[in-house]
This record gives sequence, structure tokens and C-alpha cells, in this order.
Amino acid sequence: MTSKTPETMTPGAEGLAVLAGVILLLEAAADRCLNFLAADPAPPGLEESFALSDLGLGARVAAIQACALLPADIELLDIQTAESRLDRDDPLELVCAAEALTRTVPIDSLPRGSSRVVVALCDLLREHG
Amino acid sequence: MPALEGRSVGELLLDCDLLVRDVLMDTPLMDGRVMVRTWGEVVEAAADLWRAFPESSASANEFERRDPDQVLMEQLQTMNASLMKAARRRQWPGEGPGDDRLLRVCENLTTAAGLLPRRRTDVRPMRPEVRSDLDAAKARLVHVLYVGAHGVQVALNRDLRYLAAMPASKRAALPAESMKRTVEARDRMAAFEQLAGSYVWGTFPAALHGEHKPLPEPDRLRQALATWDIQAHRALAGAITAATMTLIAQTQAHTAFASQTLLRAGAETGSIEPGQYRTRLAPALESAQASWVGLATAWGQLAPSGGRGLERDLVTAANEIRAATLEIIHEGTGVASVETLAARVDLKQVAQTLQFGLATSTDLAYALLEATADPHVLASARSVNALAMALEARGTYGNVSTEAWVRPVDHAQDRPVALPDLVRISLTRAVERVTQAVTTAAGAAAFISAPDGAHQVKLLAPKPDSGPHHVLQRPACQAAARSRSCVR
Repeated sequence: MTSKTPETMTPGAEGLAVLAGVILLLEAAADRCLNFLAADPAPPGLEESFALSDLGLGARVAAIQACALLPADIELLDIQTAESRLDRDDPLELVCAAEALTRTVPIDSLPRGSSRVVVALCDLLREHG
Repeated sequence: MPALEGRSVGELLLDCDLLVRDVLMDTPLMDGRVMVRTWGEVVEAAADLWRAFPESSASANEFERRDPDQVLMEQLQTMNASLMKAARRRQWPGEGPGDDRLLRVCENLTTAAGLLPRRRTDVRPMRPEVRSDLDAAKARLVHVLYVGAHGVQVALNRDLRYLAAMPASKRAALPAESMKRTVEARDRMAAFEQLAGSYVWGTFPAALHGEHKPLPEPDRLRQALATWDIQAHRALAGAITAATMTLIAQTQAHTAFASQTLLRAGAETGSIEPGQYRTRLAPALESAQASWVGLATAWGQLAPSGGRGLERDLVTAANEIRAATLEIIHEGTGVASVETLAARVDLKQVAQTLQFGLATSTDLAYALLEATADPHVLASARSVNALAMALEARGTYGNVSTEAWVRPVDHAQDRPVALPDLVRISLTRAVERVTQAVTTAAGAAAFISAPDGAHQVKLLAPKPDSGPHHVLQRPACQAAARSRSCVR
């Protein structure tokens, strides 16, 4: 009776756009962390460097996990992304923006398995917020 | 107390919490009837666990001993019983499969109940920390019911929308009163959720602060480093992309930062020799960090956005490295104090694990050097073009090349392309800096496990006036090879 139709199982364009935006934001956050760590002068203390490194790796892994959710026949370039706030400097702000972006659509419009990415984002913010 | 599969009551409850969160989030997988069929068992298993919890206070009076929380659980059980009774009497939801995730919740709760020994609090009062842990377990358990009930409700609402949109001819083929029973079940689940919510609002997440946290697994970091080393080598043996190289370099950089944080704590507490750490190891580790970060940044520029094809095991191993280091180092939203680190782990043992990690990273750095020379390494066409132009502009004559660095068609579609020599040379230099830095760091760390530290350090450390690094690398590589076999 209530078996889901293929239509309800397939993410819509809106969901894909959000996921693509999340990927770009997370990759930007991961790159920004590396840039800060490579900067001269380096971050002031080991604690700050470790936190930046952890945030960067966490963002990188979450981005890879999000990429794996995109349908195999779709490239990121093909998707009209829902995100234009990539120019932010603070990597934590970028992760915040990625998390906020996931809230703009109902969870069931995102590709199946997106809950893990949402949880990973929330965990990152909890650990570094 | 550990379960047969090794999980404690707290871990089983946490798993239940994550499972119901999944149920709630991945709504496309939901089917209301399937979930209602399974829900009754979840509540029964939760009630059994609740009854297995030790009583938090001892009182001679039977009436006073009646825990108000126990009344709530009985109410929830009664509501569930009447829902299940109604379901048995009618055709809806009928016979059929159960929801796998909710069944796993049932299994976890039943296992947890079996782990709890009977405890008499009238003869042995409960210690405050045990009471806090109990409160946390109760809060977690009711939260599982609260979130799960909401998940079932969401599924039933989806079913209702589906039924409403269904053509009349199809609806006629369904069991009679499907719509009515779905509405009834939805409303009953809403009432259940509200009742569970009344407990959750007063306890969650504050009560979780008192949860007993087991100490980090002593072997987790060693296992994570060993698994990472294997997966990184496997990834480099396959088709290599810029995304793979970036992830490897970034994870290695993170390991270096974590190593320094823990080794510094080891030096401050006397777990490792502070003088050796301060004068030799700390500068070498800083250099290794910087070189790994530089390499990750260089490859990161060349990885296409949303690049796929990364081996899943590699990503999992990187994630585990992060989790294993975070478990030890992290506290609140920052780094734990030296005292906390020393209380959590045996810093001497951790230092030896990290020494193995440093030694294996030397070998991995050389594998990266070989991979960089591989003509089949692929990177984003646009990024390769941009980097090649930037490198050329830095040269003596500026951008004078008349030929494009990548084919226009590759550039337009940002296809993966092979590296031009100019780019490869730049990357090779970056990896060479890494090999040099990690060889030095591995040599400087040899004192950690050496019986006569000074002798080892002399053997492994490069001399300032020595020749090219490959002449010096042999003893360190041999040490690395020995350590690799130890780690594995």
C-alpha cells in the first residue's frame, strides 16, 4: 500500500543543488584551514593549529561523503548550486553555512543517506563551535 | 559491563539513539505500517530495560519507593499496549515485515537489559556518580522513544498524503478503513510522543553530562594508524588522483599535529625525556607538519570540486584517524589540558605508538614521491592550467609559452588530465620536502623507545653538513620498516 514510488525516492533538483552547495562550502572550509595552517606567520599556538587541522580534515571527509551521495551520472559542474557564500574567510563560518543550507529544504528532498552528512556537520559544529 | 559484542549499556543506548535519528531523517525509506508493526516491540523492550535499571533510592515505604519516572514508563507502556491491541483486532496494519532499524533498536535494548545485574539499593546506597549515570541512561532511553515515536508519526503522515493522492480505483484494492486506521495510529503516536516529550524536556540533554564515559580504548590509536598506513598504500597502488593525494597529505598533517600535542604532554609529564623532545623532536615535528600542510595545499589546488572515486576504505581510515585522536585530545570545544590527557591515556605508551606512526609516515612519504612521478596521476584540467600558468609566470621569462597547458575541451569540461612537467616538478619538490622532514622527525623520535636513546639519535638524525637526503634516509627507512612490521 504505502511502498514508496520511485519518484519519492529520487532527490529533486532542489535537493541536489543544496547538496552541491554543501560540498563546495565544505571543500572551501577544508582548503581554508590548510591555507591558515600554511600561512606565515602560522597560527599562534599548537592548540589552535590542532583545532584548525581537525576542522579541515573533518570538513574534507564530510565533503567526500557528500560527494558519494550524488547520483553516479551527475557531475557537480552540471548542478546549479544553491550556494554563493564561498568567499568567507572563516572555515567555521563556511561549515555553519553548509549546515544552514541543509535546513533550507526538507530532509526527504536530499539524496538518500544525507542524514549522515547532516549529522557530521552538526558534530563538527558542536566540536568546534 | 561489556556485552558479548563488546558494547556497554551506554553504547547500546547511544546506538539506539543514532538509529532512531536515522529513522527520523531518512523519511524516503519509511513505511508507516511497517513501523507501527515494529513499534510495539520497541516500547516493550524499553520498558523491560527500564525495569532492569537499579532503583535510585532506598525507602522502607512501598508507596514512597514508587519512582515517579516509573509511572511515566508504565503510562507509555499502557498507551502502546492499547495501540497494539487495536492493531491486532483489525486488518490494519496487518501481517508483514518489520522495520529493520527499529528491530535493531529492540535487539540493543534487550541486550542492554540483559547486561544489568540486579542491585539492591536498600543495603548498598547508590553512589552519586552511579546515580548520574543512571539518570543519563534513563534520559537517553526516553529520548529514543520520543524521537522514534516522532519518526513513526512522520511516516504515517506520509502514508496519509500518499493515500489522499491515490486514485479511487487503487484505493479500493486496499484493506478497508486504511485511511481511518492510519489517522488513528498517527494521533495515538502523537499522544505517545507528547508524553515521552514531557520527560525529555526536563532531562535531555542536561542529564547526559553525568553519563559515565569509558576511557579511550588503549589500542584504538595504534589500530587507526596501522589501518591508515595500509589503506594509504593501497590507494597509491591503484589509480591515483589529486583528491587521493590531498586526503593522504591532509590526514598525515593532522596526525603530525596530533602527535605533537600528545608528545608535548608526554614531555611535560615526564613520560618521555623532555630535553630530547624540546631540542630535537619538537622542531622536527613542526617542520614535518609544515611540509605535510604544504603538500596537502599543493595537491588540494589540483583536485576537482566534488571529485569522486576516492576509495571508501581510505576515507573511513582517515575518519578513524580523526576520531581516534579527537577521543584523546578533545575536550569541550578545544584541546584537553595536560592533566586530562595524562588521566585519559598512558602517555608513554601513546608516545611509542606515535613513534611508530612517524616511522611509517617516512615510508608513506616515499610512496607519495613515487606516485607523483607516475605519468597516470590525474588532476583537474582547470586547476592544472591555472597552476602551470602561475608557475610559468614566476619563471625568468614569465608567461611566454605559446601552447596551451591543457586542451581547451578538457578545460571547458574540467576533465581529469595528466600533469605537465612544470607542475609535476613543483609537486615533486613539495614531496621531497616532506620526505626530508619526516625522515628527520622519525630519527628524532627514536629516543622514545630506544634503550639508549642517545645512540639511536646519532644513528638516525641527518647531519647538517651531509649530502643529499637520500644518502641519509637509509637508516631511518630501515627503522621505519622495522616499526611498520611492529605496527602491523
